[in-house]
Amino acid sequence: MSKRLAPSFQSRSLPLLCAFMTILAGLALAGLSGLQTLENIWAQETPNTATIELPPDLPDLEHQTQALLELLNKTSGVLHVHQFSTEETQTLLAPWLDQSPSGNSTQLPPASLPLIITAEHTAGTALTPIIAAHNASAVVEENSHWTERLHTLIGTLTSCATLILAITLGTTSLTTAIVIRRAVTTQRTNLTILHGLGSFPLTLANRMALHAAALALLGSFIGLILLAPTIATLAHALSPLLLSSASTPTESPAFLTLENYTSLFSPHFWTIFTLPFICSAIAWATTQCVILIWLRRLP
Amino acid sequence: MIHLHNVTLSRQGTRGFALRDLNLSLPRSSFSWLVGPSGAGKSSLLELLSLNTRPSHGQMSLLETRVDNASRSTLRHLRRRIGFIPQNYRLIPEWSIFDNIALPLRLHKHREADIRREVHAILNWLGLTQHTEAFPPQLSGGEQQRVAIARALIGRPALLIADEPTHALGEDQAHLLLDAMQQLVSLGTTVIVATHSSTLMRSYPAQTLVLQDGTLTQREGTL
Repeated sequence: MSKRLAPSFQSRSLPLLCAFMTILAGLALAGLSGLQTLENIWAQETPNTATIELPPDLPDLEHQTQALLELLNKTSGVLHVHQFSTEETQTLLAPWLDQSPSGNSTQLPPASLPLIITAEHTAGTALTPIIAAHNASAVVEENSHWTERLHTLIGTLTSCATLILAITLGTTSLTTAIVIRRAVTTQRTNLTILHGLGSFPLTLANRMALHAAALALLGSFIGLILLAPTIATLAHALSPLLLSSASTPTESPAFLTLENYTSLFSPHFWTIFTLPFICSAIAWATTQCVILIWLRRLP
Repeated sequence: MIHLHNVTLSRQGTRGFALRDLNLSLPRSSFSWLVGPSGAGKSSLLELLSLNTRPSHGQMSLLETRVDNASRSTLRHLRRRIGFIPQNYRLIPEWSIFDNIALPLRLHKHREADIRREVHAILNWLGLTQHTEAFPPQLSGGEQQRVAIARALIGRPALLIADEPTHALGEDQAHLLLDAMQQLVSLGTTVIVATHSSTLMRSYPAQTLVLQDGTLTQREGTL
């Protein structure tokens, strides 16, 4: 025989709602994690490199090149300087010249090729003004500009994902409150009877809140199970970009281990598993509030 | 035991009064009939005495405690000492008859073994033993009324309030209930019973409170 002191909390829509909200929040969290991982990898693995191009028609090109190489080697913050050979330049320019890199039938004569120097440097070293002051004809392309733009893009996407997550949590709380309020309304007569017999409001609220929390937990776990294949697909699609800098974007591992998943979604991977408990806590707290506020209306 | 001084109870949502300037004093260990035509305010007075509502004006004391300005906690503790048999039974339909009757004892944190013994004893007394695990909607009106009576009596209340407690009962059961109420009075309980049955009132002569248009107009007879 059950020891009954409060009406049970009955709602079919609460588990369903929690399942959907878990899927939404899980997706937003996975997206957020993937973006942050991508940002970290790019921040760590993309070197700060300046590509300097000297036009082939520059007078006294060889002397000017030597002077520039000396200047770069003396500049603090420059880690490595490399002058492209004619073959390397041919290979680099092949896509623009509509040639196969290995093909040599229509190669440009070396005299018409620009001279290319790359300089790897530490973050924060501004080479463009130094080179411009030394040689006005040199064209400098800093890849840090692109890294900054990517950071900005990822920052924007991260903000969007965070906003979606916040909206999802807010919507969960609000809709849970509505569903719970409706469920409590069906028990209003019973609650009034129990109140009239001298029941403690906290006992009533606690017992019903525990039922609501259990239902939310169940629904949310179901949502998590339904979310798993979507996360796996997403991880598989993102893995070439995220798993290793050595991989090319077309490579995708056939099988991802748990370690892969945790590294892919490292900032928030385990947070996804806390969603059912967060949902349950929201349901518990909302039920408590709804019941206690409603009982305050009774004498 | 019960003291009402100029108590007024407004009707919810209207400017009218359910009870107006009511004065009443009832001692401990007393039995009173409450009579009056429909709409006179009997149910309102019983709701007031069972602490399901508070007076709009006036002073009210129950069980030696001032209740018109009492805290929620005080009212909660007083409610546990009051047995109320409402006209519409107010049973919890999703709970078994056992759980419905056991509730006052569980609120008093009695041991489960004692609760089981007490509930079975009262079910046996009211002839409901076969319905222990049934649910209120499965019972007839008379049986539900007996369950409500059992729930009100099981906690041995200091104040017992009943609204037409015999209207769905047979004559024998009505007398059984009234006899039980007389026993409770002899043990110190104050009992107020609203009724329309003049036969019962003749069988159990007692002080009669007459309500008319929300005002206590007449008090006659004694136990």
